[in-house]
Amino acid sequence: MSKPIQTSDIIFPELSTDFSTTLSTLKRATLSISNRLRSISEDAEFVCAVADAYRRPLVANERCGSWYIPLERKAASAYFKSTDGHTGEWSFSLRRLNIQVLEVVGANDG
Amino acid sequence: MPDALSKTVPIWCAIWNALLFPSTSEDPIPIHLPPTTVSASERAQITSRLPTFLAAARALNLPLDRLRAQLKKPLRPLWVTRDSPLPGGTDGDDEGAAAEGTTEGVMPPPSFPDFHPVILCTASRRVPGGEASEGGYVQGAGDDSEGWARGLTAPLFWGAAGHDALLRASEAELPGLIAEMVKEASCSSAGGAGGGGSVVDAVQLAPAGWVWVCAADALRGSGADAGQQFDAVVECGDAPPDESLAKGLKGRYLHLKCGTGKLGSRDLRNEISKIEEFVLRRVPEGARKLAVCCQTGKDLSVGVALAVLCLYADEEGE
Repeated sequence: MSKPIQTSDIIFPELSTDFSTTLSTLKRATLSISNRLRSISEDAEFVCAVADAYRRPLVANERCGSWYIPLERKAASAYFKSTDGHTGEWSFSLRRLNIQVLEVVGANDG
Repeated sequence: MPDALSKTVPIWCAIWNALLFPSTSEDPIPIHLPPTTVSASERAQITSRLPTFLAAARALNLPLDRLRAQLKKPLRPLWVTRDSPLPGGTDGDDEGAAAEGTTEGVMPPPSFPDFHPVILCTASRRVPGGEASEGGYVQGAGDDSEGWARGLTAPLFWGAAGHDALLRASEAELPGLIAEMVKEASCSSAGGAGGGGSVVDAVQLAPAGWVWVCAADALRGSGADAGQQFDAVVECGDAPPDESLAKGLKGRYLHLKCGTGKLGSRDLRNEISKIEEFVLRRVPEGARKLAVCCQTGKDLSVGVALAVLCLYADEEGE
């Protein structure tokens, strides 16, 4: 018997992307806080291991980045937006120069 | 890998390198992008935009000499993900083996003589199949915290007070615990709103020194204190203008009606033109202290303070 028709077969590609995005948004909405906090802790341990391995300070790309860096290890904040990296929308933001990041890099060789 | 790390920061590095360490030929402007994440075609398109970005950046007349003194070599991005091998002989999947305390036998990191490495670390593990989570692990758990955190913030999470408790609490206990922590945090930050005779807790904006920023609650209702400490006050908020402030400052008090949150910034756009008349006419020449406040002392007031400095301060900030 042939595979039954999926919704994604009959909906135009743009629409089916929206559908799966909606679906994953719904799925994410039900994820438990405790799982999230534990995952964040695990990710933060990795981040600290990287900083230790390279012996350089940690800069958080706000605001999500701050979740993965313990307070005492956070040397600075940075503001680099994903939208400035989106296909077709690439940009060097004149409002978010992030000079403070240059200063950390200069002081710590990276 | 988030776009910020695969593209935004590499573009930033390329432009700063071109600003601070221009090479004789700027065609094309060099850029380093993660080869497996960014396609050749996208790379070509980004490269073609770089000259425009560079021209715009040059037009800002930034203090390049000062920055060049701090950054002696160009920048070069490196990408680290959970799959990357790490220097020191550990691989990315080990549970923090490099951080386990012993440094014996752990090799030092490679040296980078020709550039400053900008290490772009993707914290989260990739969960296959486009799923958000697998076996309890949530990919990108810290993202969109407004949606799931119920008011918990990263500083609260990492603060000594609650960290262990948060990780030990059961799912059922978490909302209550978070609510308590949030409440306690907001009480202690409002604690600066002391009664009569106390000094207002405000942040001085250096190097100008004549503009200060604080939370509205620190000033409202204490007109006499405010009048002692400041020559003029600008307040952004949606509560009605404060009578005691107007009196205490003898009219050198400007109230800009702004709502909270995003509505506030929209309101501010309409209200901000009022600062011109206020600063030029009502703030006395040689005033030493202007306070700008808003509900948090960290939001609209900062924008207004910056506007005041841009408009009315000279190169030295006077």
